[in-house]
Amino acid sequence: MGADRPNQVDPITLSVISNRLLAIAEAMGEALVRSAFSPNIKERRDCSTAVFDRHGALVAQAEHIPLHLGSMLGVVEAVLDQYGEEIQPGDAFVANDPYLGGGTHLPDVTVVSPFFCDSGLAGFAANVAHHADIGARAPGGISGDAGSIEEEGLRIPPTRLATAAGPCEEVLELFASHCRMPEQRRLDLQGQVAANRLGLADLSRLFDDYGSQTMHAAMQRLLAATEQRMRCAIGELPDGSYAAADSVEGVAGEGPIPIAVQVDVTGDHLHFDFAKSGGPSRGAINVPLNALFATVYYALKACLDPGLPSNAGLHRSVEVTVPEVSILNARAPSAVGARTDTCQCVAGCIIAAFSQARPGRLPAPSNDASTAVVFSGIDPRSGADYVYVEAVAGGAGAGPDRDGMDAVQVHITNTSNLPVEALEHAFPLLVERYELAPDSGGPGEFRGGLGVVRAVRVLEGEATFSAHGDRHERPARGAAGGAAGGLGAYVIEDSSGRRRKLPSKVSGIRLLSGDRVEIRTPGGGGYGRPAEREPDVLGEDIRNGVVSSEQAGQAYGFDPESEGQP
Amino acid sequence: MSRHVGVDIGGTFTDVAAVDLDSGESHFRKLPSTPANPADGAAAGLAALSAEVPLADVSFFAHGTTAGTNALIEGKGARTALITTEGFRDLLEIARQRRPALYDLLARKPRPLVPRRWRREAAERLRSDGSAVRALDAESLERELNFLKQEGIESLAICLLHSYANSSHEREIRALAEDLLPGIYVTASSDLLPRFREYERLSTTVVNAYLGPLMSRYLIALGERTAAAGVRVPPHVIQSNGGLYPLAEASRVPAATILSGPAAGATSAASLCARLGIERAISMDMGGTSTDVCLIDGGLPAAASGREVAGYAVELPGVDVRCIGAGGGSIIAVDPGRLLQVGPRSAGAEPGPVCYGRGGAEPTLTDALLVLGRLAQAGLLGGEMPLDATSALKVVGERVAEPLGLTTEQAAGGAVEVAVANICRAVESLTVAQGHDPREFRLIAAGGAGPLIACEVAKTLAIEEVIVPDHPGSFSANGLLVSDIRRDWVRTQFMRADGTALSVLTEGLRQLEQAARDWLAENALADHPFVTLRSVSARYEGQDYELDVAVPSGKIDRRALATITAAFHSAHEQRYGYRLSGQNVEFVDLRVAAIADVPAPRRAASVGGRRVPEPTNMRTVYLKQRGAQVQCPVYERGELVAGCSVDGPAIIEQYDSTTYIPPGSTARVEADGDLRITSR
Repeated sequence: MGADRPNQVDPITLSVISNRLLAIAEAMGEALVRSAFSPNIKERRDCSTAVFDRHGALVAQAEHIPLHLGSMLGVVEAVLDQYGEEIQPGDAFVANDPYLGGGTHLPDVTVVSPFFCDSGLAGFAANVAHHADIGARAPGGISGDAGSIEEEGLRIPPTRLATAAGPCEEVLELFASHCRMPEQRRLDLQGQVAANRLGLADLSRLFDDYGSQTMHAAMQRLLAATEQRMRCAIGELPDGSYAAADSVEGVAGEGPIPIAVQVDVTGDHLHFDFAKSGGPSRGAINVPLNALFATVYYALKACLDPGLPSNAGLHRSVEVTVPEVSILNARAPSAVGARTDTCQCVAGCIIAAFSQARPGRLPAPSNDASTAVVFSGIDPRSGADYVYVEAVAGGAGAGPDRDGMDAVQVHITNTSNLPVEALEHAFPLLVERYELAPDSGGPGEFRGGLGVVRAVRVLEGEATFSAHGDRHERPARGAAGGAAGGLGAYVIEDSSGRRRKLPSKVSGIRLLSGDRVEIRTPGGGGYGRPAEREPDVLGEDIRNGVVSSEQAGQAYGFDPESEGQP
Repeated sequence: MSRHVGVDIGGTFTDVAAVDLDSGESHFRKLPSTPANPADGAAAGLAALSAEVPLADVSFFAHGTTAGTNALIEGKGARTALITTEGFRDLLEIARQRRPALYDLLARKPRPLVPRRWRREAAERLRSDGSAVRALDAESLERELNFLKQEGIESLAICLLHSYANSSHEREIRALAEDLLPGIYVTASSDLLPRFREYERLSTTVVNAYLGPLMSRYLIALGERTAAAGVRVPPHVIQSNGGLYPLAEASRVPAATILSGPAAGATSAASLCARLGIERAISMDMGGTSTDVCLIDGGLPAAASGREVAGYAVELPGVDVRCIGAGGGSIIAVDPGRLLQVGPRSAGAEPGPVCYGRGGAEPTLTDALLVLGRLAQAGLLGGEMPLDATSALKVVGERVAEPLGLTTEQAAGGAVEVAVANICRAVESLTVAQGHDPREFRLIAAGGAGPLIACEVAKTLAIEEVIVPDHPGSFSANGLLVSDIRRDWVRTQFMRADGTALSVLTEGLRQLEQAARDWLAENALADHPFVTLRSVSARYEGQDYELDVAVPSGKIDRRALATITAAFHSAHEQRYGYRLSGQNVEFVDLRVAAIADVPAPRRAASVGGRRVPEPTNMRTVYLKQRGAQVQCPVYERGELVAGCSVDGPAIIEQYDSTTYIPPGSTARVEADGDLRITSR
């Protein structure tokens, strides 16, 4: 059998098949963005697509949102487990539940479609899309302080959504009717099924071109090639144990929860141990195992080989250990809606650990938060409900030879902002400031990236504010003598000018007409000793107002008398 | 006699094309570009032409240039400042907040074109309906402008929130700036692009201001140089919508010139489709560093309004041309997993492929094509640019064949296969994103490298026919000869598409049409044959993206409105796969285009040559299908007359490109000299 003698596929054919598989995943992504309705998928491209082999191993993933891989891995596995021999040509399955269906949080809805060719089940097309609502208590379903999965919306175990005869209308109806804006949900889910269908047609052409035996062999060979390439990169690391720790901020009264990783390098073998991380949170920042895996894979690729193909060969080259009871191994009924904050912290820890193994090659810690805010209410102009969801960028860590990027989404998320002119047309809100936060970049020879300040005023009617984020109390640290970045914050200012600070995970905060919420995101850590910063470059920072003269004096030891007025 | 001349200045080459309007006789030249002083290149191009074409007979002169693009990439634009709404000075850097590369922790964002200290704020604020939350504070504005004056800025961008709905604050600032800073270049976003979505408008306004002074100087110099060379008509400059601008207009909107080359290529592709009677085609123009891909549907290039150049958003009405990072200079490498990769790294034009002998050390696609025998060892451009086959053979052997355990020819063939797969991947995602199936299209192969691999691209995408234009290497320059004069007007005006919209829509379009007529008159174009086209962009309420639909001519009444909304439902279904008949439709942008006709040259019938073509020589070409090197006939393109056909395997050579016809395919020569290649 071909699969047992993978080396029979020549390297050229292999490279071409690798490209064609990626083309299929990318075309599915374009089809999904094309046929979706909601701005979240269409404008912010909050979705991902992939192709799996018949055993459920990832063979190609389009570059969208790194964290989404977790949901697809888990759901394909759950579908194989639950349906196995019963899987039929024409089927499509849907799931989102982390405890029943391999998902990572409920708004990320995964659709999996089996691919059949002459010899039977031959692979899967899968995609995941972040739905703007999933029927949670809090609109949007990502509030940081939900107490259990039951508060987070509709839970879908692996469920047949379509058969060769067509879509299961009652399942579509059940899904849509549990969510806000049901018509949007139905259209988005139908778009997901259609995107997979396109993937299946392309797979069918590819299998026709090469024959199923060659295709199965090639898929195995591709995973082996990625594993070999990853092991080469691992082999270049000095053997040893590299540990790093940080913490995420828990919900009210919970305090910080430690996140810790130990990376053991032995030859070309890599082991991640999260034993020293803290226990479960009472809030929604628990991480399902599949989200942890996706985060590890992201960080590994970013640290060692950014050009590595995304497939299961990468997964095979590492081993991950996590305790039974852990914030990083969520168990029912823990809430998980805001798992991204914890995942960002995990990614940050892994990068910090690798930077010991690769000194001078990796950046200082980034803002490592996922600042997501939701404003909802009734628009008095139209009488209609509105839900405005935004993820606000922060600063990236400085590199060994360059400043960190200002105002970007880091690590496992990567979504666009909503234009202010679009949101002010659609919602009774006014954005009063959207700017870089001076002094929020960690001082260093190379400065950390700046965080952002975004201030939103409620113009008409009442509104509800929910949010999650992190690094409101513990900043991103510096590296190699660099200093920490600035902190994040949510501050409400009422019309009389009274200011009130909120914790990093909140939901259901009532806002009155005229109230203003100031969202401040954390900056990245600096790299190298601040005193080493080139005077010209520091002078430029001061003239541009991104470093105040106070910070210049205190953190950089800048003396305007001796150095001349900038 | 009247002749049209086109000069297209690209990154590596300057292409010059001339055609006799009556006889259709044409001339093409290719010269190295002179990036330091591009007007020199244009003058040199004209001089090269003057032996065959009396420059005094030139009745129309069209120009495309990368001068603006280069200034943007190299950061050599003007000292530019920005006045924007208070609280938003950093939007230029925050952009859409996505990072440039997903997995690269050390990626860099593009450097902002205006440093933060020159980004100043105006105390003012408008809402989306154009009403003022806060009036403009003239006193603080004067202080800001005086500060900028002291800083010695050369150019000023003005972009305020919601200025598409009410431009009065921007106009006030503009007037004060022209008063306080006489002689500086000013771009206001409400003049340039009164469309909603503030980041894209801001970035476009800033790019325009950044390029304004430099491009104005360049265009003046160009006018002088061409006049000195004996050309009696002023130049017209091609812009991103595929239309030509008079010189003064191009100085006002230099941001439009940075997409001029690809836009001219798209116009060229559309004109090729028109003369062959083809409705739908994918145009693939492959050069040294990249490949431009454009869809022609219904005989017209697909339109798009957004594009990034060197990481900067430029959102002007234009044709949808996608740039893929695959070209002759793409570097071939074997990764540690022993997979063969072609690109995304490129040796570019400098140092270029190893076989150019300019210091390139890594094997490229061009080296592989030379190893395979598809390119002649005698070199490019009819031998003006010799190639070093020995070093190509050596580098492909050492860096590709050995690590993979293949012969050098197998490795080179493999690199071509992988490059083809790369291009197919990009073409597929582009067509699928627009709701099309590539199999329903033909493939147009242009550029120096496109016709060398087009048949394999077509085979992979299951496209039936490949078309190679008569002068594939001068595709953009040829586009200059078939473009019309065009300007677009656009303005955002939100309205629900029901009876309440009739008067607003009528008045909004009337104003834009009046602006179009005024413009035609100002530029002395009113006596040219011209048309104005009206359209609106529409969406379902609740959506965040729009589609353009045509507005029928005549009075806008309920019937016209029904026609527009029906066209929108159909366009939505074509593009996105479904329609929502019960959902309210919203109009967002109003658009008017004025197109003044430039007479198109006749095409010359091909002359001379033999009906049964004879090869000029035989060459050893490696054929994967046979796993061996085979003697292939080589034909000279100029000797192939209409009606004759060439069976593959064969090579067809011409001055600016080489076409490879694989075994099993046949090329037929059309009446106008174009090649159509199909499988036998």
